[in-house]
Amino acid sequence: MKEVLLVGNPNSGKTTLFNSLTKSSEHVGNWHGVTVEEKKKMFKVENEDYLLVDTPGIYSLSPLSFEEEVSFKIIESDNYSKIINLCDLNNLQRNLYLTLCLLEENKDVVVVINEIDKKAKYKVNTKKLSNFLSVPVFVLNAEDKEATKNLKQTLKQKDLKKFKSEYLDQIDFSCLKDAFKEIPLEERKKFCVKAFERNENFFKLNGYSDEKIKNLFSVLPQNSMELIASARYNFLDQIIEECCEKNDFVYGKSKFDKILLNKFFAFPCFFLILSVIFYLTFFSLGAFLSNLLSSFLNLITTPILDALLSIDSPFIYHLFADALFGGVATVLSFLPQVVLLFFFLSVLEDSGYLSRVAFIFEDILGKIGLSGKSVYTLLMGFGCSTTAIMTARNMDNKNSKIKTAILCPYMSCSAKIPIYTVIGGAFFGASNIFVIIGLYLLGVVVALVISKILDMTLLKSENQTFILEFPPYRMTSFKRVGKILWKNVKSFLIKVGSVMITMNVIVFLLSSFTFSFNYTENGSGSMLESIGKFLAPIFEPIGFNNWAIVSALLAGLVAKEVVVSSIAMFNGVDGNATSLISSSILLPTSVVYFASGASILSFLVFCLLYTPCLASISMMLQEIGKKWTVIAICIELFVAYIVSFIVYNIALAFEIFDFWPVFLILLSIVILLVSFVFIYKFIKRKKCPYNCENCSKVCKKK
Amino acid sequence: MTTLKDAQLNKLYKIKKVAGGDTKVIRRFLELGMLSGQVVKVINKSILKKVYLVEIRGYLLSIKTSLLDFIEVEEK
Repeated sequence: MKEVLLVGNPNSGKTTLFNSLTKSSEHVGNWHGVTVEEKKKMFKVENEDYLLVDTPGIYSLSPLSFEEEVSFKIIESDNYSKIINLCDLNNLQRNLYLTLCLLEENKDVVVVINEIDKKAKYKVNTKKLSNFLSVPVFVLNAEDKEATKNLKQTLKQKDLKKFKSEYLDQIDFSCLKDAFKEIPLEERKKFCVKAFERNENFFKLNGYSDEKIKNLFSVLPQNSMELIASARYNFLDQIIEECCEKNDFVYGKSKFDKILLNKFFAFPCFFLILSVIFYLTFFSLGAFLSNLLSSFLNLITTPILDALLSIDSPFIYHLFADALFGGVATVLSFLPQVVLLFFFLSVLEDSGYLSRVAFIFEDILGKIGLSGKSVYTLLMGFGCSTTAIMTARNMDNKNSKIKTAILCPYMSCSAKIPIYTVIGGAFFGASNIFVIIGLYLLGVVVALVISKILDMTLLKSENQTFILEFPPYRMTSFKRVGKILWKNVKSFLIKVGSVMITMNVIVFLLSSFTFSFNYTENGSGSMLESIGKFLAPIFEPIGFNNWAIVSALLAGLVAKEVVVSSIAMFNGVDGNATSLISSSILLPTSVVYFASGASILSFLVFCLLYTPCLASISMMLQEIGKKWTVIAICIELFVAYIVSFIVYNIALAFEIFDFWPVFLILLSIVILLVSFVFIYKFIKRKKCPYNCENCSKVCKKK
Repeated sequence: MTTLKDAQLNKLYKIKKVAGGDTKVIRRFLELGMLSGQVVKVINKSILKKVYLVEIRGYLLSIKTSLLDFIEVEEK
């Protein structure tokens, strides 16, 4: 079977083309580096099978960040028959730079120019361009399935490889004449170019030692990289001159930026957008749809439960009513909210606004050892930590990548929505809205503090580069709205249907049988009770010494949705009833019982901050290695415990004493702490070693 | 020596030299078309001036200011 690579600049629409060629629905967005790993799928051209490989975006064959390295390795592996090089028509000249890099290496290339916007920056004469590059050239919209038909046909043709990189001949490679004697003649030029580019990755891949590379680079002229780049760009200038008409506008420039990047409005606008998203998700629209689904589910489950009651076996009844219907239906009723959140995040991704967010946040995040680019990963963390952790590959140094991945789970993920709504709603009722906002903010604040601490200790930030292209603003198309919704509904249902039901049955069995395998009701004497009782005293200081709550948290290690369904199961709430679960946890006779609002708050905070689900942990293992995953888990458990402890005791103080004295004491503690920090900074401040007469305050001395 | 870091908003500058920093960063600048002779313009600066938004070859790049020290420019 023939392999076809899909290669191109970041955000040129590779994954969109991948989706239309293979009829799949991989994640796309208007941001640099949505795809961070290779993705493969089969497609057919007239009964012949092809394997299409989608790669992360690159600017050239010299990688800078981790995801670019993935593409570089695939391209250099030469295990494929053809490359589809996707170029963005709006930025054709720079996109063709990569095309030249590929053609110089004698790759078998088809150039596809993606016409994303109707009014593009360039208008291109494909015939002329095809002559210049000696390869087939297509202009099409990657979303258009019809247009890709011709492209498929071209994949069958063998390229004649007529491209001659004559523009490189004017460069004087004589300094390298002794260096590549053992390399075959036809390969020598390529090696010279790679040396001039100072492409370490290439020589490492070809078995050169660090020292040999250093020696090789030492003979090069100072401006070797510029020589190569300007030779290519000169040729590209010529191409653009002869093949293209240029529209006179700046790609990506928008009048919206006057407000969204404004000194005073940038942050308020960002928070306003987030608030609208959260308001729609949790309260107005999301809550309405959830209630609707909830009553619908009730209609279905009630007759089934009635039928089950007639069966004379408590084991069977509880297995179906509690483990299979009760908790599952409750979590299922949150489907609209979870899907809505993912939907809004996708729209945000599509809009191109996230590059602007990275721009305005670089100021702050740079100070705590992160990069503006981390914003993307962290925002995606509100949806699902597992997929978000992977996008940390966007970073270009290891410490920033590890740090971003470790911080991801503190962004409250969508799986925690049911916990906040059901458990928080029990005690706080209508004012639960403030609790939920507080929890989200707490997660962000904790993440920022941990980042600062890591930056000062384990993960000192190296010079994280930040070069990010600004895409134009785009609306999500109607076609895509449907796709996004369906994809998220599907993945939610699959998760509930597989992981959650399995976990519920396991928790049910463990809480229904004693160690001698006798059936027991209400969990008394069960295996889970013994385990939970053993661990429960640890949780006494943070307000819930209760075996069932501890067991629910344990089950939540697998997936956070299971926390609520386990609680429903322990309390014997049959069928789908958010309100019933809520009221049951406040009854002292229930198995899961919260004695006070303080312990509920503490539980919510613990759920927010403790170890993420198994899927996230395994993703962390894959991305940042065993050592850092263990460290991340330890930090999470420690931080969750400490913060819950603080929250519990403060809340308890408010419950026991009057509001004002407690508030004033807290305020004075905060003021004291802040002033200590300032005094410490004042003492530790560094004096300028230069005694210039007129201090410009913008000092250039290093 | 003027670098792009000192550039004023919305004023045209011509690149004189791109050199001095980490090889990888310099190479990236070159690949993105920041070659000597090229005209650039800073069209926005972040609040603490840690990032500039730079217009080059008809598109926009946001670049950390510490990296802009490597781009020597002259007024056009």
